[in-house]
Amino acid sequence: MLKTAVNGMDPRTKLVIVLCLSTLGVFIQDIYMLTGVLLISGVLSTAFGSPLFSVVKKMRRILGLFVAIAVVQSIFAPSGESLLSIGGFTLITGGGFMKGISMVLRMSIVLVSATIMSTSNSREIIQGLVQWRIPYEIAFMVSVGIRFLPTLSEEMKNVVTAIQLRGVDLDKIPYKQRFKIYSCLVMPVVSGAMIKSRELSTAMETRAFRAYPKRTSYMILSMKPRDYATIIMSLIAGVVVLLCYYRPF
Amino acid sequence: MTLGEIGSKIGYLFQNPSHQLFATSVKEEISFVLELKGCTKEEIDRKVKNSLETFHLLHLKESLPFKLSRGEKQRLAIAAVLVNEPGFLVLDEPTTGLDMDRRKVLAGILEELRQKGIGMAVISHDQEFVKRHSDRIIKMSGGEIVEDCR
Repeated sequence: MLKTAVNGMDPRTKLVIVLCLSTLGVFIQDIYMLTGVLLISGVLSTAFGSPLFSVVKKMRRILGLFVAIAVVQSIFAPSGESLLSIGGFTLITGGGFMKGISMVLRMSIVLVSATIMSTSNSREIIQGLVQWRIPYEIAFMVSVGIRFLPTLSEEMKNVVTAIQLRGVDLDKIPYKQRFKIYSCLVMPVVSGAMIKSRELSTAMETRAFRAYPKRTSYMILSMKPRDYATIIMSLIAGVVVLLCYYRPF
Repeated sequence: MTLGEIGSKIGYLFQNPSHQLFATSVKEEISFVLELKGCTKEEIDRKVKNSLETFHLLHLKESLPFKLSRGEKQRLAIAAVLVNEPGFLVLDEPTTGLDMDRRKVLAGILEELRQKGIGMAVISHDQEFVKRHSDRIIKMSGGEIVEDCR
């Protein structure tokens, strides 16, 4: 029933939902409430038809990074009883550990809620932003940013494959050298992105991008009553949750 | 076999050589694998100098690989692959984007490699290049071999 209700929603409605969920993720510190927001994000993302499970599978690869962030956060924001100490020096505290977990939950909320936007094509997202009076150039930049993400990911895969095809078995390399190898990913990805963006801007200018002050739109979005209702409900829900968090009854 | 083990035996040149360049200088691109293998500095310097001279890249040794022309990138990619001393080379559309002069340079390099005993499989739509430089031509269409000429 939820899937039917959200099917074909205006991209602006989805943007408001994502903004509400991300805002809650940023401002709330309580782990239980963050978990609730994450669950709601997951349910909404699935209802919108986003490939959430494939995203979660991909997130498994960066699980190590999440754990590292949680550990670093707990080390540098210590509070409460000591959970792990080495030679009298407290490494991880109970309070610090909980802060680390809340940081991971926060990042997960942002990632999962962002998958809701992936259910609209970039053309619709740009048009939605333009109709909300966002300058076309800025709206287009958002779309180009989204478009570049798979390109960057492909670039990284190409470099890892190229390194392995030079006879380097990544699983057999000591960790110290592996760090050096992975640092090789930075240069081609950054320079590749810069070269592509320069080529893209040239291609756009040859098609008279920004040559005229006004643009007409081939596609016009119109919001239905359920879009307005969803936006109002999302904003009210977001405000209520924040009020409950900051001023509990 | 892992991809690393395959790479140590067979060199592969990507269709777009930019996809296999990742170092901050031409010199470093060639020496990358040698450093990982634990070669001595003298050996690395000798092999790198040899490669730079063979592939006419000596004047570009400090250059950023991404700023090279297509032909230079291709020569660099081949040099970086061959420094590993594979017994066999696979080249994917090596003549794409090269003018007649650069094709002649590439043909010369491939001929030198052939004389050193390095086997090669060239994937190409450039029929003239293939006819001129191959011992065996296998034509494929729709994923099937339609002709095999020696």
